[in-house]
Amino acid sequence: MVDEHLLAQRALAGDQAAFAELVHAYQGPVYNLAYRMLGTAAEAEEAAQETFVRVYRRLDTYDPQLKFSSWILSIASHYCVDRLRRRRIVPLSLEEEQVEPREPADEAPERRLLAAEREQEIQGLLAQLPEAYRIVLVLRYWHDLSYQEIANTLGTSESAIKAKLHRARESMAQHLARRQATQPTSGLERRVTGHALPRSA
Amino acid sequence: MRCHEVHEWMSLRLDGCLPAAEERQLEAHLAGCPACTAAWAEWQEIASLFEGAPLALPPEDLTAKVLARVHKPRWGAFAGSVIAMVAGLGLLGALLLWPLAGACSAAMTTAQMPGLLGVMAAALAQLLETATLLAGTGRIVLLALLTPHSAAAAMGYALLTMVALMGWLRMVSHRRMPRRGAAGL
Repeated sequence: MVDEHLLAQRALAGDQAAFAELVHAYQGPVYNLAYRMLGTAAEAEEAAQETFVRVYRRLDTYDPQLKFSSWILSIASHYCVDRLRRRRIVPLSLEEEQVEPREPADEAPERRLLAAEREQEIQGLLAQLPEAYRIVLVLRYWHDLSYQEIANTLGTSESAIKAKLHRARESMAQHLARRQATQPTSGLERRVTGHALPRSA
Repeated sequence: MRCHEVHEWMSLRLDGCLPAAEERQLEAHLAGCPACTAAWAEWQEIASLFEGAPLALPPEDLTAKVLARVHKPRWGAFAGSVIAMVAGLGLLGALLLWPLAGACSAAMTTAQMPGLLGVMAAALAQLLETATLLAGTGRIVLLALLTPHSAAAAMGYALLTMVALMGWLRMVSHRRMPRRGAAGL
């Protein structure tokens, strides 16, 4: 296993290869967080790049008592939340360019179609949430962090995280209920009402 | 037990964080509350949707782009420093050269006069005149600064300059050049 603290120390001392190793190790989680938060591939890439530039400039402030992953996700989270707050007047539209997570090329067309549908469903649910709820959901589901770890990453309390998760879920359920009233046969509702689409592993 | 409390427990249960005692109470409530049962089914569906979601994969050249950004020379900051230095030197030069210009001009004029003693005396006299003029100017400026209004303005100006200088130093220290190490890519 890569010793992140050692890599961080080496990068701080000017070892470019060590920093490259850190970027390579964390580009996936950072990009995914940015994509789930911002909703488009172009913005996610820009945010991921900016996160790593900030990491590079702030390496001397890294506290080895913290997990390196928490520190880097914290920088990415704050950047994405700030970015969403700045653009609040222009809410994310599902009509904007979106690129689904890449699937293996040999995947069957119908599987790809289902995956794309699920993806659109997920991004649609995330997009209607306030950024403070969205980031908690992303850290909980994609980064598998505990309440305490999410609280440390976002600099808040465990009880605040529990409350935000609860409200986020409630908000998503209400959103689905409202949508079901207008479009009774959309994807997730079909699953809820028993005509389940197969779930991907 | 109210439905709102049940929803809080539902959220904890989805994360596997609901204690066993509360879980039994939740089950009991769900058994008698069709609205919460329907909500619980929906919450579970949403959770399963998120749990099965794949990680979005970054573009293959992301690492290369990041490294290109952090390791490129910061010419903007460098050019800014050079411009600031040249402007500062220019201002200082203008302030110092102004009184000296008179003396130099007098020296040039007197150098054309016949007789070394006469030339030296004229140059000395011109220098003394310039020094007297500078001292007089300094005295006037000092007296002006010592009046209450001017002193306050001067202190305000000094304070403003210090704040601007500290801001500049902070900006420069945050945008320092990347350190170069022994290892390369």
